[in-house]
Amino acid sequence: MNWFGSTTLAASLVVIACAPLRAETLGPVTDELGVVKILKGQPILIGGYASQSGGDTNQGIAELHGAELALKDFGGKVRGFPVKFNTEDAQCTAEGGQTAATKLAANRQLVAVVGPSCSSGARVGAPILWNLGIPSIGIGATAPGLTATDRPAGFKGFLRVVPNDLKSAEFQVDWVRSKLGLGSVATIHDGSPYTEQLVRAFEKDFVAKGGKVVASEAIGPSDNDLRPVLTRIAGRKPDLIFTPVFVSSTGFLLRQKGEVAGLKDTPVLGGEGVFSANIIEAAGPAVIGFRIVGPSTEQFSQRFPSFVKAFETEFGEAPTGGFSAWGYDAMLVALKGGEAVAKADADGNLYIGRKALRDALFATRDLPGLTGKLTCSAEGDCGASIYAIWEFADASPTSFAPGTNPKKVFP
Amino acid sequence: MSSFDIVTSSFRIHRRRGHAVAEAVRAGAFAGAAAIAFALVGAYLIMDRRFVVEDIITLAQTVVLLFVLGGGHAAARSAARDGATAATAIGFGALAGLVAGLLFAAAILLVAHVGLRSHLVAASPMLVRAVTFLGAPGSAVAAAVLVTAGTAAGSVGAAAAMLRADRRTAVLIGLAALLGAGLFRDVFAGLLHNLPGLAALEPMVFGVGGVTPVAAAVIAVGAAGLSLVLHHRRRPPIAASTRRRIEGVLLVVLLVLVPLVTDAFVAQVAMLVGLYVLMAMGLNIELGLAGLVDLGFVAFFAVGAYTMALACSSDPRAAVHLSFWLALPLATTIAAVAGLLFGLPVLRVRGDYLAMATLGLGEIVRVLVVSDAMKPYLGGSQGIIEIARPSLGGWTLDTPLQFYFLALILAALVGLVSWRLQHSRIGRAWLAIREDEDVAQALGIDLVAAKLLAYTVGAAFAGMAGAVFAALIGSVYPHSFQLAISINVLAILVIGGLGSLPGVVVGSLVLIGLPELLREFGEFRYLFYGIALVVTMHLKTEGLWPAVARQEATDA
Amino acid sequence: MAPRHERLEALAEWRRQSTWVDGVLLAIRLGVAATILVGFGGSLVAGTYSIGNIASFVVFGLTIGCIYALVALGYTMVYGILRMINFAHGDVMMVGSFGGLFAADALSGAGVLEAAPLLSLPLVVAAGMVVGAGVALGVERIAYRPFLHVRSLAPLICAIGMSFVLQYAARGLFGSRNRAYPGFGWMERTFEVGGLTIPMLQVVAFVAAGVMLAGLLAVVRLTRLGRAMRAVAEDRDAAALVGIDVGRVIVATFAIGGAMAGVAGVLYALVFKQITVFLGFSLGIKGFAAAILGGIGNLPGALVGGLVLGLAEALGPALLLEGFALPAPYQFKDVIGYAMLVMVLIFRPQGLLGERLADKRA
Repeated sequence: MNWFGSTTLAASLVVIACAPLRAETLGPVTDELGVVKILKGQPILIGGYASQSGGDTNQGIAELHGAELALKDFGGKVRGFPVKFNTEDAQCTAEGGQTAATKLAANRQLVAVVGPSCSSGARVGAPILWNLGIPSIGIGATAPGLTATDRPAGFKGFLRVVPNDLKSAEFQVDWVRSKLGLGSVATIHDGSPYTEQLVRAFEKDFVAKGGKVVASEAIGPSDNDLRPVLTRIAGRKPDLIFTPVFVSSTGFLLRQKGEVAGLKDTPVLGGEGVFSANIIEAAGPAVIGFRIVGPSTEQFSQRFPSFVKAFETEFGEAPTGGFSAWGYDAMLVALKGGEAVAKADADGNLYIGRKALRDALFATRDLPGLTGKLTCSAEGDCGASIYAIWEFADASPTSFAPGTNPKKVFP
Repeated sequence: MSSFDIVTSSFRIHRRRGHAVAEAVRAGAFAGAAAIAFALVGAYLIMDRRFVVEDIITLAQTVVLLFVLGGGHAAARSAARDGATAATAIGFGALAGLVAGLLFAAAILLVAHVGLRSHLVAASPMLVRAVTFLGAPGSAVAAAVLVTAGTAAGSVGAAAAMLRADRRTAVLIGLAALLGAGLFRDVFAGLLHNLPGLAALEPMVFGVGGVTPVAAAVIAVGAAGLSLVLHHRRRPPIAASTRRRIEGVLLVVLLVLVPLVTDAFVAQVAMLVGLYVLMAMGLNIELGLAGLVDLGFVAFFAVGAYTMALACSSDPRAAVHLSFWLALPLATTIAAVAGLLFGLPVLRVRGDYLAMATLGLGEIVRVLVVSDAMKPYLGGSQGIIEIARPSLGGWTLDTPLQFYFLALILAALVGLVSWRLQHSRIGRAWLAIREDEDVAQALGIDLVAAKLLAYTVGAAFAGMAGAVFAALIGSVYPHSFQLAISINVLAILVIGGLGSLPGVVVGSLVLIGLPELLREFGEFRYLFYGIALVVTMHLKTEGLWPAVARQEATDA
Repeated sequence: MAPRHERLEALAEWRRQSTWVDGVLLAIRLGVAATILVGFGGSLVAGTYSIGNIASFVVFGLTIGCIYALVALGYTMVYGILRMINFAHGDVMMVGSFGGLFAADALSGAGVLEAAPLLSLPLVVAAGMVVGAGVALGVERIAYRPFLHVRSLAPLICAIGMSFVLQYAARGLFGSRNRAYPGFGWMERTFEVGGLTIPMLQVVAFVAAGVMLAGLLAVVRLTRLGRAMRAVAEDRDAAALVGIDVGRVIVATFAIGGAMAGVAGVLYALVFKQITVFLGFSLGIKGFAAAILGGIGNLPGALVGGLVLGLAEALGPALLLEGFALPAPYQFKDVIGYAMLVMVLIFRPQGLLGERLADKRA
């Protein structure tokens, strides 16, 4: 055993010289964080990580499929070089994000990354990537802290196309308080960081605007009988129920609401996570009258229906999670950035500077994405963050088409 | 008896073998069905993006090919057993291949011309395009190509079956080496990149997605040749114990060296493997030695992680601010106490009832951690972030590799403690309890003390793993502590070999390392993982590295 | 096996030795009693719920309890005979549920479902049963049969593996979206009893669960197969010696258990209206819990266990947690269920009704 111990100890003391990022000149490009050289005929690598297994599978798969569609619409090429999209499963956990990011980063040819789906994964994954000079574009990671002005240095290479929780909460409170004039709400989250954070932001804003939160409830993501908790809420007589929980839970909630005395006519407001055709099937007839928050822009209303069609042809079913459009936009931002900074040499090889790419991504202005015009702030918030409240009007699963079902009710 | 003790019976079920033609059709049908399932589940399209040999054959094609080769092989073996000549046997192999090809082609035609997509989402035009090598997608020509290819592959598989045993092994090893090199491209590429003097080889051996054609030939032929040479070289027979020792040394060298010379990802995976080794050694004490089934094991992992978080984080909830080195023993101790508290009430619960009781306790811990009610203390669903990294005299551990070695040292330590415990008085007491609680009692073993000690020690190890985990990730979230972890650890023990310390290491390598390396197949990762569990158990029922006593018992 | 009186003596010895453990258990007992009293009293004082609310909670609890019970029936049968937890059972239920869905879709497409729900329902249930039984047979063939003669945990791990395979294969085959069952005509309506609104389908589910249990009991108690099953459960080798085809009996048990899971899957979908490929895991665990709660191997026990678990989950937060004024009490629904389970196991290790199928020592 002795030699065993000493070997391990000795080995552990070997400090591996981790190649630090340094300025590099390759071909026509000089970059302070290094340059990726892509030989003629080789593909440009873009990574993706999202929840492909575990409880948030639907979200992650829809996001990555959205990104694939963006690549397809873009022609599959940047400056004549084919783009290869390497995806890894990040689940919806911190360790999943960490491992997936490490695996992506292991390939030094990687230029940029889209994802992940969850803030917990982004919190760990984004710095891993950026420490190697790889920028990442978050899809479903909505926690405000990720793009706060005082964020740690590891997030200086992190952008996101989805607006953060605070903005969406602010808009929804505005609608409920100012437009509808409702005074009391009940909230439900499912214990996931995303829904809990959104609910807390909503509650804070709502109280600040003079409203009253009469019930603040939580369920488990695999709960199927929500009638007891709805009964509790009914006892508090809220004017509205706010809940950003995911498709299954929202489906149960809407269907079972009618069975609980006193809640039949209480309106429900949901989050972007269920902005998909899937919610219609999950909730059945009860979906009629259900409102959700979603992007509000012209582009979105015009292009999303055909996106859904293309998605269905390509992957066999319409997007199952609400963030597919943001997956599309994240990929679009990455491709545009790559196109802007890539330089070819005389032999037809391509060079991309890492710092230059990062700067190009942050400099994105008025890029017509699927969710709206994308403009990135200095902190990395690129989301269009123009919201609307949408209302479902038809319970036929094939009727999903933003504009008619759900139709925009505000503004 | 509980399920965790034994399933024993003297009878077996033998399938009656039919005529060679029937066997060939059967083998072909199996191969065809496997290929169809592989395609319709969507795995074909995903794996079709990855080349094994650059620009020549994709992973998906390889898998389907292997199914058919296997079918032809089985058919030929079956025919040969009935006394058929080599030519006839190859004919039966071709028949199997034909059947497989026909089935697959029929399925593809069905997908192309009948709308199955409302029920089967992967039955897409893309799938049809992917398996069309000649002619229009969905055409008779395309189908004929598939049938022909199937027949050819079946014959080849059959021909391989007719080879002498040593050559057959060599072919198999050559193919396996090639597949391994292609599948785990990133690991080997990283290895080449980091080994001094070999970096120049990397672009020659590996393309963007797989092995280059020349390197593929070299690898396959080289591995096959090596196998033949090794087989024919006369060597003195090695005693089983010596061989085990050599294997053990190899394992250790592998554990120390490979993460050193590959990339951060391999180190990260190795690190996770190390954590699971720690945990599995803990459960090994409870289940492997004392026979106490624990499906709530993740709770101790969580206790360790949260203790570390609350002791080392800058979060306002943190009770104290300790260094990692002080928090580690603290977390271990608190987890041990948790183990004791867990163990006390369930002392008299046995067998599967114990499994359920511990599962329940584990779930209770998980819900408590995520709950709004405990949020002021444990952070609720937002977890606890900004946990300080361990530092030693100004030197901070932050790369996965450094954490890996930390985990390795801890695992070595824990392994030593386990080993000593196993071979001490208490270890024998545990074994006695595992075999028969009542007899152990009659022998004067203090059941209460022995069981409680098992819970306490097991929990302490898991708590230690949790503490390192928290420091590695830098944050803890309740969603990291799912029931799946308990199940995973249990599977590691059984796959490795119950009660065997090297088995724990091998089991973790296989069950944690493999899914990590398959991470790129995202949604199919756990499908392959499940298949791997089933196949391993079929091939190695006692585990990959059974405990010595057990192996002797089965050999006898 | 030691004679009974010896075991009793051993038990007495064990008691003499471990008085402090008894002390601890007594303390736990008192603690639980106090918690329940305080919680219950507090809940009464808080007065959040009306009697009507409580009555509807009972209905909710019985509905979900029925589903747990059906899953538990399959668990208990297989366990009684093989003494092996079948971790894939919940996923068998999921696949059965999808089998029912496809049948319902086909019937709905032909317009039969709306027009004659009473005729269609048995067809849909039958589809679920056939698919469930088929998948269960596959699980038996792959995960259990090869290991019948060996002494190892291999079947358990194989069953876990099969659970992954079924879940993720179903995801690949059927897609990950939520699927809704089509409507069952007049069965979709609700009716009122004493101010309670009860959906018709819940009554259907309840009746179906009862019918299934009765049928199963009849099979086990009255038929040749049932006798053979009980014999195999008692002692497999002895059963083989007296000429029972043990392999066949095990296969039959799996088929029946799988069919039960299929029924559970269809009824679940009828009550909760939407299914996904991931529904099996948590329901499987709950069904397992219900089987253990009732006393494993005991068919009526499975029913009782399921109903008790369902009721505990539905009523627990209202009757116990309200008194502690916790935020979001329904988050603790599972805690109540599991805590009750653990308590039952601690103080009644044989489950509520005790083991029945065979009187082996556990």
